[in-house]
Amino acid sequence: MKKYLLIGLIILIGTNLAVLGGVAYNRMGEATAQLTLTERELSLPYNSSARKENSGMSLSIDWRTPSRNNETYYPRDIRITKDELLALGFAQVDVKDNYWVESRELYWAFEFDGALHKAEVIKAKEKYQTALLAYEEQSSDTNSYKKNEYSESLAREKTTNSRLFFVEASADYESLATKFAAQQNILIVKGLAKPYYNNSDKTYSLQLMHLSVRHIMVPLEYTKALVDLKRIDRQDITPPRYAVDISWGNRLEPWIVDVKRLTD
Amino acid sequence: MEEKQFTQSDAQNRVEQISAFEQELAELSNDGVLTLAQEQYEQVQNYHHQLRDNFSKKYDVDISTQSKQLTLGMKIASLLGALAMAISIFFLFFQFWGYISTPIQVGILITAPVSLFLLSLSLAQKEKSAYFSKIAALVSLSCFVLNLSMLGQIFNITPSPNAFAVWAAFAFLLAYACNARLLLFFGIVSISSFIAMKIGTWSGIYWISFGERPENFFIPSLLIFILPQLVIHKRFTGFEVIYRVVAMIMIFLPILILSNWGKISYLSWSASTIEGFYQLIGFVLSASAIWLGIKRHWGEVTNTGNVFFILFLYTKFFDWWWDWMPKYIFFFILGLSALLALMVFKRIRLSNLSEGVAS
Repeated sequence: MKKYLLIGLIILIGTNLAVLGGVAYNRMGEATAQLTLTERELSLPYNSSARKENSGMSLSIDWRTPSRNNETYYPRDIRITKDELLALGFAQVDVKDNYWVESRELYWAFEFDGALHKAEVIKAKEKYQTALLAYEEQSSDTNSYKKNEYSESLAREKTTNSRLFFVEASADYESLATKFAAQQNILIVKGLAKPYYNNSDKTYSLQLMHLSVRHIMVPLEYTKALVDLKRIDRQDITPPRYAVDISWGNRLEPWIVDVKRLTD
Repeated sequence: MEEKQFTQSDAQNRVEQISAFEQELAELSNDGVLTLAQEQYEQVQNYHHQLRDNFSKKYDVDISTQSKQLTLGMKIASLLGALAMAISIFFLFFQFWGYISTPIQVGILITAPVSLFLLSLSLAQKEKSAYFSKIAALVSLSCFVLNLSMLGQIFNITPSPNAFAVWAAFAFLLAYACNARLLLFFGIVSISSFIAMKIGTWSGIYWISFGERPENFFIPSLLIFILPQLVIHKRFTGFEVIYRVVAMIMIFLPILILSNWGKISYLSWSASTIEGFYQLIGFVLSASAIWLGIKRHWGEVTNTGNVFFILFLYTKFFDWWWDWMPKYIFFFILGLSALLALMVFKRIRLSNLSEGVAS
């Protein structure tokens, strides 16, 4: 029995030491990124019945890709060439039926509250201006509906939509870190992506599946600022109610440094 | 009185052997074939009585049919109790962890599996049948699973397949310490998943997608099948059976999937060629398993081989005939094939019997 006891304790304590050592290493030294995200980028959990059984609180990271021309939704894929896919490490990009292509873990770079978001605001403004002009020329129901819809879209873009934009994926961290070294608002994390081949227009794209760490746990000392809040509907145009200071460490894993209430 | 060392299963077998002997002796006596002298009969009876008493005290074996039935009930109760308690631990932690600070959360997560591990070892030493130690061991394993997965959530750690390796190591350790087959099963499943994940990662896929390529399971299942040949499991009741059956399921299920769904193979042939290839492999391997099981007297290997041979055969019948054949003919052919299998097994059984008589 002594042999079992010794091996068992080594497994249990050794594993925990390794895990906690990894956490300490992640938080050691200078953070790889530090951002103050708001409710626009960090959603509260859903108040489903399952939540009643779980008292822990975690915030999910909301990110976007830049909208394409004439498209009003934000796709979770980006256009890419076959060579770029090969450079990302995909070997099966020549598979034409997309039947069974697995995801790979890649490094993703995000831009927070930068040029990409400004461009989205400009796009939303232009759409609204066009709709407003059309309505002023002819005040039909359709034009009125469009004017109101684009007005709301613009307000949402300015007030509630996420400002965290996907910029680029890479197979290695260093190339992204070097490329964006001069920018303070860049976040590099790991995420899963897989290639897609469009047989009709013969183009390739990279489908951005999800981040490797999708949720950020809120430690007890910061939950007070959030505990009485409920998740807002995506259609609501409500200014963000909280801001969260987050650091990302050596292993690109995040942790919350502070949580502040923005409105009372 | 002999002082030979037994395992619990050896002792149970010996008790059953004694009962069979007593019944046969009574039959022989009734038929007038053999009647022991009163003195001899009493001598044998006394010896068996002492032996049974000793086994009952030392190994907690069942000496009657009633106690055997009760033991089965206790085993089922202990299995259900252990599973329910393991699930309860998860819900208990989820219910309250939001109200406690991170250092206390970490403290609870680390001390829970350690203390339950110590409890299970202590109970395993004290108990003869180890019902409670097995429950404590399973709850300890589930606490360890909770420990690592919750540390991952608390500290926002990137998920890693390595957790499966340590869960497997701990499950194996508990299985051998408490002689628990359920824990051995969890250990085998965890280590096989870990190896399959690693193989998947080497071929470029994300580790969670390991199940999308069934061929990832071939190497772990072969290793698991060979393991009981390399390590003697005399002291551990039913461990070899668990190793072989789980390994066979892990090799035959992927083959069955690939024989119907060739596109998910690593092989670069056309889907129909891959499916044909795996159908052939499936038939050859399941027939070989039946042969190996008969040769080595591994009943579980023969039975598992039988089940998969029939599955391969029936899926093929379904592929060939289901769409165009009238259903009464389809099921009639299934029935005929079962009769054919019955005849083949009967011939094998007869030849085995005649070999047994000759030897």
